[in-house]
Amino acid sequence: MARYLAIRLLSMVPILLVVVVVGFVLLRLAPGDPATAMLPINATAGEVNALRAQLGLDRPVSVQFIRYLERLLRGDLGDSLFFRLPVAGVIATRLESTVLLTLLSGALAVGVAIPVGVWAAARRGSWVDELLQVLSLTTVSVPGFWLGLVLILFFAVQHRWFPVTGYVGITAAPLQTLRYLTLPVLTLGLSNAAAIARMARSSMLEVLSQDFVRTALAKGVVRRVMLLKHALRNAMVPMLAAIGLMFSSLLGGAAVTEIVFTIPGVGSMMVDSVGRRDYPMIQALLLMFAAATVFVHLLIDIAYALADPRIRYA
Amino acid sequence: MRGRVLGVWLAVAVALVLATGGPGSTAPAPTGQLVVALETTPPSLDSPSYSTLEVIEPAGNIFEQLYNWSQDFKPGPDLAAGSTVSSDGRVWTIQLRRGVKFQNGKEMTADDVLASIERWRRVSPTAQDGWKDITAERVDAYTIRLTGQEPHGTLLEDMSGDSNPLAIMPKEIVEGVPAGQLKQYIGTGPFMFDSMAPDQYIRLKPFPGYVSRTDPPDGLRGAKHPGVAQLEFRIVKDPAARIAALRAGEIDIVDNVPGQARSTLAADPNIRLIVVKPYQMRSFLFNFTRPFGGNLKFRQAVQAGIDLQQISLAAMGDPTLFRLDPGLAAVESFYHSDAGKELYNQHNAAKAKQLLAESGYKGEPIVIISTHDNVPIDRMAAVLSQELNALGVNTQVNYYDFATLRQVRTQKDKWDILPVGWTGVTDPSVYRGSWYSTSGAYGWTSIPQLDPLMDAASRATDINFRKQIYTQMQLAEYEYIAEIKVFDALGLRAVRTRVKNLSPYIRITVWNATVTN
Repeated sequence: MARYLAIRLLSMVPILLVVVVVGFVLLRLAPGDPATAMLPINATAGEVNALRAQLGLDRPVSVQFIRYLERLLRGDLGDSLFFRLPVAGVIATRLESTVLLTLLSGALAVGVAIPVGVWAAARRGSWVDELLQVLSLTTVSVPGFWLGLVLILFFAVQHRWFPVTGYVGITAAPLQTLRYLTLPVLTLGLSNAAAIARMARSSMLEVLSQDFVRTALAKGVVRRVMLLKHALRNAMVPMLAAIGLMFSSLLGGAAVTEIVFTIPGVGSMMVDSVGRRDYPMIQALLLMFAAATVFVHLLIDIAYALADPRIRYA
Repeated sequence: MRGRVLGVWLAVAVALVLATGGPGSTAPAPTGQLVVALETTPPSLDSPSYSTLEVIEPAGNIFEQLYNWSQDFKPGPDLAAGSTVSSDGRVWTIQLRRGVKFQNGKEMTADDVLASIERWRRVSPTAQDGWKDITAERVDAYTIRLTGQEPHGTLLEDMSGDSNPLAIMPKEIVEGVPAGQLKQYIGTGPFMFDSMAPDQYIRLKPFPGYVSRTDPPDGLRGAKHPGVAQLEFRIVKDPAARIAALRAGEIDIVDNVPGQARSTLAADPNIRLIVVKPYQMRSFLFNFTRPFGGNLKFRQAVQAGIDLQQISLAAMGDPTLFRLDPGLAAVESFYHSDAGKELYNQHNAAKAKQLLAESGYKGEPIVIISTHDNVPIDRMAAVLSQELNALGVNTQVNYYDFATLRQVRTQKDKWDILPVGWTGVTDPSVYRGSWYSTSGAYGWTSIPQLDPLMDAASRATDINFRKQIYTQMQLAEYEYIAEIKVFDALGLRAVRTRVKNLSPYIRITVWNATVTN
């Protein structure tokens, strides 16, 4: 297992290198120029050229790439063209809200989806199953931003239980942080919960139709124990795969959720940075998202082995 | 003993007077927080370098100008005490108000004003084009002299413009600073910079040393007495979230409200709606360097054929939020004219087809550039394309994100027609750098018939005479067509009723506003 982990961690290096190269090249191929985007429309050609030189954008792309790679190897992500500050520092100020939003939404999604999926599978064909099926299909079909706006209208505008916009750091006021994140987490979490619940139900149904379940029940195993101890564990592998895929969906959804709720996170900053043609910021965020995704999938692979002892990594 | 008691009473009296702001100060201490929504993060608060509202509105509370607009769009002194002009209109002597303090504690003098003017001439299109021949010099610490080789009748209007404004800043922070790269925000305004979190907020606080004018508030000038302890411009990019935050009481003022939110907000007793007139003028600009953009018959064909009512309705989505009017200066402006009205909104397909044939047009692709990031521009391009197709013009609409559009519109070979919006269309003099200029950032308009009229308007010191010239200029514009005016967009502003003393000016002007809890 240790050897497997070491190999997987090392394999992240070429993957991230590909992300670095592709991200860099695609940005340079895209139309739009950072200096033009940053300066007023009436800026003179001289001012645009001066800013391009100041930002190093007047050099050949190959030189820019080598310089970028050199800095990256030293752990320097460069300076944001828009903020005129080190990228790492700007990301650090925005990371907390996105990490909390993503983790809490993921926890909500898993925490709601698996019990609902198991419950629906255990009562297959009943009105409970039908109701949960309709609810999950509806939720999975609703765009995240629309769900967010509905939650805002009901909980924030009509009842004023939660704020519409903004974020308070967890070190400043943890309870306020939770208050500000409640609606965004519901928005992002419920959208993803529906998809996982449907996956959990179908996985459970597949396992419940197998012979060992019938045998266990015939031998007198209590149905609840059979469901939670035997069937659920066997159904976990496809559910873990779905949870791994959910992580990418959470990152994308976080950007939309942050925009709707005006949360200063790295998701919305990615969207803004594309509009601003803030190359160093986009490159750093791409790298960060790619590294996080690869790492989460590694964790999921480890979880496979824990869920199913028959899976062995060499 | 009696002398000592008297001395103590005198000291108490002096302290009380100082604490309350001195004789004549009747304004209560600022209290509460006023929150204004901004749609996007300003790249900077360096207002002389920018014409966009997200820069101008916050910065207008920090910086002041020598002259500024009144409610009816006439220039009047703000940091200036007054001015005189020589009989030939070439020499302007401007006296500065004495005792005006910058927010760093320094008194404003002629040196600061001259340094600000010097930079403004480099970064503002109005000054780049219209102030080429003007020499600015110091007469004494509180007087400057502006001397032109030609008469300059629109000098006060140029200095009053709130798009790329001539904001007065301390010499030491403004000298040699390129466009858009101001590092410190220090002005003489009623509010001073407090903090800024990109993509979140800009916070301002009252400037305790502010020296107000004593004449009544009028547009962007007159007395200013900060009424709130904190003025926050909160960046909320999603339009629906802005409306929700307003209804939830988190934001006090939202501008540019979408028409479809009108009925919901009108039903809320805590919100009042204000229709802002004029908000923007929407036009189609031609690229004069392209074969058909530079072809008068083709431009006339487009002018004759399109249905401006349909385009306006599609762009604004609400018939009460636009008006069709031929004036290049808004109806509310002294300079408004309906000259050329017979050429406005003709919607005459037969005439358009005849002109197209005369232009030599044979189905070549006409490129309209647009963006989905701005709803009116998006819809104006789409409907224009349909209408031109119906006339037999082969259009191609290229959509870009806004950052790319900004670059593409400066490239002469990339487009033929561009939908645009001009803000503050009250005095044509402030737009000479953008309109009708071969050296402009885009359009590269070349209409020789307009140049002498622009020059004559610029020279005229008598505003009635200047109005006559602007009327002729408008007529020439309709005949030669630098752009096709489509409609006046009216803004919808939503304000919570707890906000009092809000100025009725077209920009959000809040320095005298107060809030109740």
